[in-house]
Amino acid sequence: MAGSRDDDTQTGEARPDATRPDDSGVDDATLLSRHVAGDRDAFTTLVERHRDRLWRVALRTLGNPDDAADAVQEALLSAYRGAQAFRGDAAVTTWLHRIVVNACLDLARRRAVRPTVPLDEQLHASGVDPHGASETAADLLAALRQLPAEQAAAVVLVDAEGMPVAEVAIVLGVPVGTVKSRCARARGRLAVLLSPPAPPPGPGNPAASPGVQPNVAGDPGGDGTGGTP
Amino acid sequence: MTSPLTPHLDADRIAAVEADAVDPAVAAEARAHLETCPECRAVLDRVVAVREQLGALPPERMPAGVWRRMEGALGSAATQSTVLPMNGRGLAGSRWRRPGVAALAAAAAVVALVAAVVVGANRSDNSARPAAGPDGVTGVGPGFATPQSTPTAFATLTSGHTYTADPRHNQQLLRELLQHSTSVPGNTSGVKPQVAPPLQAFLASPQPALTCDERLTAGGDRVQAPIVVDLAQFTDPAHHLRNAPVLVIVVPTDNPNVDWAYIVGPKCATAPDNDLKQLVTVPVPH
Repeated sequence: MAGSRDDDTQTGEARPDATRPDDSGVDDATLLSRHVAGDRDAFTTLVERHRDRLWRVALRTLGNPDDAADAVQEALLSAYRGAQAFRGDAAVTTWLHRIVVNACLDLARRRAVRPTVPLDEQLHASGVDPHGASETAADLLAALRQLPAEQAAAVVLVDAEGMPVAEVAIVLGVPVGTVKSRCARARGRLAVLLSPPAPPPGPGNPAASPGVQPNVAGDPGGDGTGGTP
Repeated sequence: MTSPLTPHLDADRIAAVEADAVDPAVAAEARAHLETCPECRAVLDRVVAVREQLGALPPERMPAGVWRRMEGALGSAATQSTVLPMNGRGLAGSRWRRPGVAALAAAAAVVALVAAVVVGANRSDNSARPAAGPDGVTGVGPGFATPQSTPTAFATLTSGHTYTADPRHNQQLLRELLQHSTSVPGNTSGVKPQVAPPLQAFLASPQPALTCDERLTAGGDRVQAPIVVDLAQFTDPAHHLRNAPVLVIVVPTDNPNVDWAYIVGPKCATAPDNDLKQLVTVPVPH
């Protein structure tokens, strides 16, 4: 069953999924409604459509497959039991993503899964040249693990999954400006983490690398206060 | 190294400018700095590259083992209990009500005990079963007039079984019930079931039974004539229920391998929308 279909929809809307022949054209909302009405297979069918996207979001937000599986399982069970709370004012996929992302953020808080060792040290310790010519996906994923989970989730949804910012705002339950702000922070941090080596700071030049500069122009506020119009 | 006119921008700010997520004045100031600062421009290039690299990550799929785990978890959730609204209609129409789950749970415990158990049933005896009416709304018992004025001969038993919150226990009772009911098809004429007082009103008129049936099956094409109705009891210490009178209503589903049995309290037909059912599924043995 695994990998039998491509669910790589980038829009966050359910429509492209609804036309798959194996699902007989039944749309997501109908499947969810059937589940609530007691259809035993409807929910699994629904999840099967979107499992890969949900998996990617969890994996890249949390940074390791064990935690991702835990979070997705918890989310799916929560969605299974709470399906009657779904309101038709958002796409089913948005709702599912929201539940999965919330489970990821909860798990990240509970387990403090974010490593505290800086990426460079991790990579150096493992013998990997972090500044090699090719920045692999593994480097990027390792760098994502360095981000606060809220930022990782935002940037994964927007940049990796291509979900519209407005939909990500619904998924994360925050204003659009906050999504942009989190994404910007995440990209900035990733840019630093993945940047070429800085010249060794000389005496009196402690800020030679952009990555270690003091936040001279930084946004002192929290998410969403970064001057977004 | 370089000597820009203003202090370096931090990467967050550069990314915010790139994402158009700062005030125009701040953005203008930052862009002015970027004009003069190759280091910060390099960071900007990195930010753009990061965005592109994220978009180019390989489209990983959920590993097969993880999916099996999810299927297993969902399957076992189905065999435990699921709180569902009794009146779950389609999503397309009105919005779903959002009753508080806690309130629902309380209502479930106190107001109406409704447990739905999907029972694996041997459908080879289907011919012995009463057929549902054209619209399926024929769920009335012996002595009830049906809307089509066709007496429906489903069995009404008084098993005296005590159901519990344990779905497996209930499954076993229901298997026995179905075996018994099919061995006595049509049954019960002449049998005066000992109807607990709270259930007498329920059985006194067909309307509550029909309404209950419709509620249990969420209306629509799932309303079915019961295969058997059993008068039984329910005990659940967790909800301070001991030998509470219940009806067990077994209905066919569109799955030939599965029946549903609803264990309902006497308010099944009259309780407001916060009535609950617990959905318990049982794989059909083959």
